[in-house]
Amino acid sequence: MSELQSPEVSDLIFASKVRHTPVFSQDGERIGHVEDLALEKIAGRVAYAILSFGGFLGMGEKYHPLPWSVLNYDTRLGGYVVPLDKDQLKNAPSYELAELGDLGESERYREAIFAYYGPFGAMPYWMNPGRARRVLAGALIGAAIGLSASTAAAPARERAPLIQPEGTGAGLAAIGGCQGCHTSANGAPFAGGRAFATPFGAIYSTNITPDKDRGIGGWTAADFQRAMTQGIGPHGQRYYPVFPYPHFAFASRADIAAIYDYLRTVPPAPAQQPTNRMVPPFGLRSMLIGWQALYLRSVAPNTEGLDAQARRGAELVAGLGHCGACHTPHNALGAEDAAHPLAGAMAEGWYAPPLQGDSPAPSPWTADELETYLRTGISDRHQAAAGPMGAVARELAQAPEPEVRAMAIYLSGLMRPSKPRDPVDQASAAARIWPEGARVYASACANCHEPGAGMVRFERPSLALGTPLDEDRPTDVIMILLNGLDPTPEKAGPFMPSFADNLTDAQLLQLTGYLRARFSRDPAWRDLDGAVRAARKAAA
Amino acid sequence: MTILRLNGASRSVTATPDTPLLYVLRDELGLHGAKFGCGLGQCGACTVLLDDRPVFSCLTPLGSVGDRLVTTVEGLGSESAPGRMQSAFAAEQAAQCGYCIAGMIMRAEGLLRRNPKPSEAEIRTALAPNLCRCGTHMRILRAVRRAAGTAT
Repeated sequence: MSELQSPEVSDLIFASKVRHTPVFSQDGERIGHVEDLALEKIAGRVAYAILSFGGFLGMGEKYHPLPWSVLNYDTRLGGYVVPLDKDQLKNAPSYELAELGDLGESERYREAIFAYYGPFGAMPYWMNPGRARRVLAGALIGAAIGLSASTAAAPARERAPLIQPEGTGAGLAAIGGCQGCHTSANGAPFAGGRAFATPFGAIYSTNITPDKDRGIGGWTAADFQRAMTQGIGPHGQRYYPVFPYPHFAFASRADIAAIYDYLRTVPPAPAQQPTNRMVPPFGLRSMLIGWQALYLRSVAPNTEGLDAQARRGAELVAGLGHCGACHTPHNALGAEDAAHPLAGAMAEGWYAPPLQGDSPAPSPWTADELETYLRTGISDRHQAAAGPMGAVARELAQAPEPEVRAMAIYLSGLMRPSKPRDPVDQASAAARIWPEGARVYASACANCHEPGAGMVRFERPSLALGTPLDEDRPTDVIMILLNGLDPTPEKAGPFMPSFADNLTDAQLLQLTGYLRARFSRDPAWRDLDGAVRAARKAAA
Repeated sequence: MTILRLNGASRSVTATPDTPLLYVLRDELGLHGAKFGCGLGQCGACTVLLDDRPVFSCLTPLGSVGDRLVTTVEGLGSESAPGRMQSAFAAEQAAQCGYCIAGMIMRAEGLLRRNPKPSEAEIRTALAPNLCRCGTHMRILRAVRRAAGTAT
């Protein structure tokens, strides 16, 4: 029987070696041992490890069936570690010995057990892993959908809500924009170090690779859930709200668990983020306790009358997608204005336009167009994503299609046009008001943007279709002129060169005035001078 | 009439202020170093320096130059007395067809004027707007490192 000695280094282990193995909570406290295993009769998979606590926690003689997939063997401890703390285990489904025999008799047991352990990464044993994640995530999204309808005979695909896609953590991480914020200019993906200039000082994103010391390699799934939804780290440290946990609090536990699983698979990087440079007194993290108490205020989106797909979209927009982090106005302390969600706001020097009834888009956003825009960064009835939105679209290109579709359906519903109109082109009138602007346009812009120019003939939209020229301020137009579109090397996407060094401030002002007069019906912008100066400062 | 401060001299030109700088350089002043590639700011063949900043001269109206110093590849040196970047490009044989090279040299020159010892990543980021269709990028990168004195 020498082959019995070492098979656990491969992908097998013998039941005799599992029985009586100690089980530890995530805090490393020994809480019991494996008393038995429950196997699925036909497929032969391990359904549960039956835990006996032996009254250790004052739980009497009850047994806890633990989904096999939440057990992780820790060689250092010589036992299994589960990603739950003592109290969470205490509250888990448990059964007297007599009832334990019925475990496989009714689906209500497995539903209760997996509903409880799902957020901690449990995979339903009766499904293959790919389907399991999908269906489980779906089950937690809304009470109306999920496992209750399941039968052993029906294939999982039919039971799964159609809106929950190949719900890989990678795709969900793309919706969350994790990589965009947690990667510095030349740094390893997810290794953090990108600086965020806030009114309170410079804050650097953290390393979320599985590196043990510098990253989150030592975090449990529960640590991750808490950080994501409460802004509290594993050692109780508070995070600044530039990390949009007030939004992530809306995300389903299953989605967050999937992201956690994904982040454990990215290459660990030992990068240490620079120390935050906060304006006093904001450097005191203890202050954040009060700050968080004031501002971790989650106002759920109104989903009344929405179908399941739009509800999923609402959950993603308000939750993982954290659209409001840019598009919702903030108060002086950096908290979002709950009374005006998605009403448009300044972000990183750009204006993130309203995503509700006040949307200034000259042609209404349909769900199809918005989906295309979110996934490709351009729509042929609008314009290209500029500024921070370009990076968002690049990430959403990696996200599951049905999820982005759900977001587009929800958002296009919110943006029902309040002022639909046809695009205009008032070239000669505009040139009379802004003659110098017309000249600059002719020499610097017309080659690409004039009707009939190559780019327009190749289906790039007319400037009249873009939202920036219909916004209530010139910020985005000037920022696009100064920054161009996506000049980042090695990134795909719509391109426009920067004109920061080509044009003088006076020319920028004239050009901006001309573009507004030519391609929008709205009145001329006021204080173009101040707007040019502000944009120069932001773009510097 | 516009006065240009060009390659260390003052030149007066008659083109209208909305004429792209590239046309003024090539057609009125006979400086054929900067090339017309795409006319859309997407290839970099027309790159010149305004002060020390590289710009696409095809998208720069003459009227926006003002009193900024215009430098073209002709202003960096001559065949008999080439500038540091020109020498480096020659030493590394960085040109194949050569069409992009004046723009490459000017963008690299602008980089070294602002950042004399750029890292590899900084060089690549700075040169990203300029395209070479022949594929001599590795030699171009070596030439920039050579000019910066950071060649290995």
